[in-house]
Amino acid sequence: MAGKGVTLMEKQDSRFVLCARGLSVSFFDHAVLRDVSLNVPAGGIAVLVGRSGSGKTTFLRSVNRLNEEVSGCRTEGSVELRLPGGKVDVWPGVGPDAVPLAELRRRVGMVFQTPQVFPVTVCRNISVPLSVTMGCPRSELDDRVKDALVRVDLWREVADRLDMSAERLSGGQQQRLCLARALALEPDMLLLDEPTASLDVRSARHVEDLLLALSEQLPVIMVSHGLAQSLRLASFMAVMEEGRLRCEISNPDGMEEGDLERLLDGAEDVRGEEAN
Amino acid sequence: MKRSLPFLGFRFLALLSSMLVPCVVLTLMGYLLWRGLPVMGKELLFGRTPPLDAVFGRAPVWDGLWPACVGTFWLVVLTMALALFPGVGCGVYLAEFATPRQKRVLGSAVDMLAGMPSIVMGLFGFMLILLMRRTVLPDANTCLLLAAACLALLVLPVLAASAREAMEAVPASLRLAAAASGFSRSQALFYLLLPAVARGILGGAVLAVGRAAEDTAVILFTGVVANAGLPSGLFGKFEALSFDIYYISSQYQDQAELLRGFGAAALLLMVSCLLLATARGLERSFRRRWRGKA
Repeated sequence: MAGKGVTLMEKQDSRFVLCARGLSVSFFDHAVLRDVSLNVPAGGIAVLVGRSGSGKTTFLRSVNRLNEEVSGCRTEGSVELRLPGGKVDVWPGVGPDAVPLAELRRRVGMVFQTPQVFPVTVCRNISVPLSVTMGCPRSELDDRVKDALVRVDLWREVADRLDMSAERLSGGQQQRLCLARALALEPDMLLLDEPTASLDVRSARHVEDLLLALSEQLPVIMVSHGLAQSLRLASFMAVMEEGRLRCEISNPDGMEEGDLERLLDGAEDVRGEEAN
Repeated sequence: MKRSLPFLGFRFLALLSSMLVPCVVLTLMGYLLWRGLPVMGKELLFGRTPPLDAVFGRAPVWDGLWPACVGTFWLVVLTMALALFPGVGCGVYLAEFATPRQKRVLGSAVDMLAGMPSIVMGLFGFMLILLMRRTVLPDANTCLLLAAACLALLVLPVLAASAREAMEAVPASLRLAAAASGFSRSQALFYLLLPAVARGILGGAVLAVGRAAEDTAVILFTGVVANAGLPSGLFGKFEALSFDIYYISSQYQDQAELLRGFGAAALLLMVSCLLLATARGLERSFRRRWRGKA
């Protein structure tokens, strides 16, 4: 997986898809992220791992500025994206490379831990964001809904149930629908917050296969609690601990679950190469 | 597991309480229908006037309830037209956009309005007309519009509270998912949150309709009269079923007149049920279309 996205990088003339500098986030003066500096290389899936409360989700939500939707949030430092559409100044979000918040969130798609389907029909879950946030013409909606569902391998299962409430789908189908919704908006990057945490093993594997295929088309940053899953998917890993970046692992091939477990438990160096 | 006596006692009392409500409703409705249904018919509605002439206003109805039915219908429609948007809007603003201070101040104002007796609202309307007659509008008089406006004030807190509660019950995760898809707060509100809470808002609207249809104290001071005939317009006097029931029950002189009162009560009950069924039907069809088959 290490070679994926090289073409993209050549176009961008940059090795990194995300650069965070001195990123600190607090909620009502409670610090959740402390001075995190991290460069995420382009290509493959970058996985953030760490114990609960280590700041993984908050870091992920800094990339599309979703933390700002929670009251009492205060962000310091800088976050910059180098996407196929050009450089984007995410935070502080001023200057020539800044983009409007709605556009940023459309270009940086996100899928949550528990499937967050909208309480509308299967079809409208995709068509409403398309028409509202992208102004997609009504005549194109059906085709684009179908394309998105085909991309996540859901079309065959729901083709005759598009007018059904999305809440009636199974957990795995709902999560793939959320993925389809994000993909329909033609994102330049995908953020995934433990996307398989609420799924059974089979559905989780299905989603994992989809993510591996997608990572060949666009950058993916993912939070995962599962060590085995992290090792299966990651081409780059960042280990977080108590709001700080503990270490980066640029090539996790060959690592085993035990190594990662020891790293999470506080071992200084498991392979003699990753310390940040 | 061993169950203690107080627990069993509490459970029995809770069961008894839960049965009390349907028993009371059935008794009330049963009694009303038992007394009212036998007199229900063409004569109760139109008296001796030919029905078609009465419906098209070609002939006055002196001894039937048709003018009161029409008056109640327009009163409820006008009340809801005046109260629905401000009531729901106030609830949505309180839940979605208000600062904590605004929530405190506006929430207290809504609570105070909710606690105001309807007779006070009627007096307020009456005093308002007196004030207008002495100042800007010497010809102003109590009328259908004034009664609807005062009723709108009465039902405003019901609508605001139900909309606020429904909006606050929406999980934060839905708002977050909408934001993550690039929706602005207003877009999320319009396309996702309001459709999601339509049922809760409709519940408040049904309560408001019921309140507007049954309240007598407000309209007593603001334009209802016993023999106005069909309402001539927004600024005309009108009849209403609730007032007819009150009037007949306090003035009846023989058994036939009392039975006519029961007929009017049964009719009001049916009108309320019809409005409730219509509202539920509309909500169900909207839900199937927008949210999909459950």
